[in-house]
Amino acid sequence: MNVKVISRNVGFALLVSALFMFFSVLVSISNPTGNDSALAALSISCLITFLVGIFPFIFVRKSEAITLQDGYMIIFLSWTLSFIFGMLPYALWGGPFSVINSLFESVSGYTTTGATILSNVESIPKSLLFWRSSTHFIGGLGVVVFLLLIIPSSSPVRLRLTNMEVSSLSRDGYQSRTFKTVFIFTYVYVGLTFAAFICYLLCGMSAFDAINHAFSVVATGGFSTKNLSLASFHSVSINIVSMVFMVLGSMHFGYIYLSIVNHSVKPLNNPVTKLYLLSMLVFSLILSFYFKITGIYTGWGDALMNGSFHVISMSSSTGLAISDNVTWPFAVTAIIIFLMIQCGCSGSTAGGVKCDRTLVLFKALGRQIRTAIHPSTVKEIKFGERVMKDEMVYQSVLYITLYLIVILISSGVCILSGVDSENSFVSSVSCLGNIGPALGRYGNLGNYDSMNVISKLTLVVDMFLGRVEIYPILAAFSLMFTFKRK
Amino acid sequence: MFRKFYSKLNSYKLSMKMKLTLSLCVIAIVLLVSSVISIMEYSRMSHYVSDLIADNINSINVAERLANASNDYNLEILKVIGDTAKTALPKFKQEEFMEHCDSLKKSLTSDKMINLADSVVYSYSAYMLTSLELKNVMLSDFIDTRAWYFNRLQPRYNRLRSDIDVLNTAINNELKKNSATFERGFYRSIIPGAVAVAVGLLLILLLLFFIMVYYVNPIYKMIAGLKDNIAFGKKYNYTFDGDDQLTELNEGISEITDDNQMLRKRLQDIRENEKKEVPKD
Repeated sequence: MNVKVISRNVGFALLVSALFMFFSVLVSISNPTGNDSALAALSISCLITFLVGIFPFIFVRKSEAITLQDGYMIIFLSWTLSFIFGMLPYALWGGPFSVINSLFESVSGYTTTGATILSNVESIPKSLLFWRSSTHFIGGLGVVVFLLLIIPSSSPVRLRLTNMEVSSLSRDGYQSRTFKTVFIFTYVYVGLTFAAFICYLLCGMSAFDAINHAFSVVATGGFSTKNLSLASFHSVSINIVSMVFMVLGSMHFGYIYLSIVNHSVKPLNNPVTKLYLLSMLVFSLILSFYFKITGIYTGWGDALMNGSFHVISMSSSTGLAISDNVTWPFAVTAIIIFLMIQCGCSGSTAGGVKCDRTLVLFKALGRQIRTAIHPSTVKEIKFGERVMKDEMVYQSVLYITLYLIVILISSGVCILSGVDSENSFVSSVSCLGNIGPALGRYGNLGNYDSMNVISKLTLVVDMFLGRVEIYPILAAFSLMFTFKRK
Repeated sequence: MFRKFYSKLNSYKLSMKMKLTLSLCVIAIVLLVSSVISIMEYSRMSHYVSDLIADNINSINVAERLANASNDYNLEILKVIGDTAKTALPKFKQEEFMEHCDSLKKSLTSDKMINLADSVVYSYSAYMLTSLELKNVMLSDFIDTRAWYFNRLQPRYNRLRSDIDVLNTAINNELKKNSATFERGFYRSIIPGAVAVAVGLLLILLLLFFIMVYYVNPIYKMIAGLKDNIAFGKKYNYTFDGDDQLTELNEGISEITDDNQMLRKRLQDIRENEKKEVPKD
């Protein structure tokens, strides 16, 4: 492993965090009622993160070529150190943030999970809330993507990191040169965030709430500045804007870019997007109908709004809420759990196994059944006009299996540490899928504060695994042990 | 734009002196931050603890005084009731009692505690109002003084005592809670300093690594290369990654050794030629 090049690239990831901490310091200073109580915590954190980030640049002046192993270590360490330095503002501020709670909140922010330990969000200083939302913005794009933006397009570092950080499914689904992919992702991401901010302002949100919710919605995170999440605004227009941007944030950014550039929705006419939109539509109608006939919501308007909002919120892995899900019956929970596992499309900020892999799984199942009935026929799996290689099918099915194994293991650990089985399972599904809220007291208006330390740490690992799609972490660990043996 | 800025920043060369100064300055700043945080946290915690303990002890003392004052007054009333010769009514330091109540209410912070203090004041008012009946009871031929005491005054006295006890218990609980908060606060106050120290150590380790990689190891290898060159005439061809004076020195050594090797070769050739030319003469 080339420690020099790793430390330089990881240092850059920390500088991005330091920059957003600096913005949070500005929010604290610009507070009309005077500096808020998080100013010192944010300033110290910003200074420390900046100094650690800049340090490798003093000695390592040139960016050298990296190996595959270096790439995995850069991704692993960039995320891990961002989590650790990102928890500093919380830990230094104090209040409900113990060390474990700070780590939980930081990981939840960077991984765009949106799970929180806060029972009273509104009591937290505005600057700290801004930092909390900023972690969504940084994590939504991916800490390594910021690094890719400044590396020259011909650099081998860029090629390797793009291949590792950007999901393989998204690269295959959207035919573009690697160096262009990163810029397209960034343009769409920043553009959507800005559009969401403007829309929220037009709907009557304050500028502070608008920027925080824009960060949260487009990154499909879920942190809100209000205790009752979006329910506190009592605004249909805000709910609709949130739904639109949650859907856009969980769709492939490459296709959105092409649609904008070509002024046409044709690029969106592909099997994955169709499956994703169709599943949301069908489940929204089922849930709304269920809410109406069971009397959970008496009016059709309320039933439709709640049904569609929560389906979109869960399937986009955002986790924002407009009502409490504590009283919802098991049938609704089952649908929600399926959506939590499936989530959005690859090439977006959404978590979960991704719609693309679900489609591959279903098509592979169909082929298997057909082969069982007609053994002599040769069947290919097609994605629109494109024929899927068997290797891709194998990778997708393997990933889904690995995903489910991780859920089982983390649920087991949570159960052994004392959390009840239902909450253990749903919390694991929720955190691995980067959704955030689970059910019951950990539901969409609840929090994870009451959970024990072991379970919190397990969920932290789940969130990290879910964000980087498991393999880079396994590869990094494997490398570390190989390195030790050597 | 960012990329241009980044490449411009990268092209800027730092001298060896500058690199070492900058890196040590970074470590010094981290240590300075760590010490400033420690001093700030220490002063904050010491103020917090002394204020907290003073408030709690003051509240406990005041509650005790309230209990003693009401107890003394009640004993005086009992004496009057027991001794038929005594006709003078006992005096109660009402203003002092109310002052104590006010100071207690001021020192209490939580709404729950203030409500308990209000209950004491309310019970005290009820008790005092009933005790004022004593004069009429003593003058009356129809009312039994002892019966009046046990039926009318004692329940109010018991209520007052119980309210004072409840308040006292609550203040003691608050003290316990505050000491637990203090322990947590103490642990919290260590965190910033610990973080800064940990970061300082991390930077020192990184500095050590960089000094080893960029300065110590190259110097060792340069010496080894020079020794090989001097001892065995091996070509000095050591290169390493860097852009500062050490790289320049290495390039200089490389040139000098090359020149030296060339000169040695020429000298050797001249000597060999000389040897060849000697027999002719």
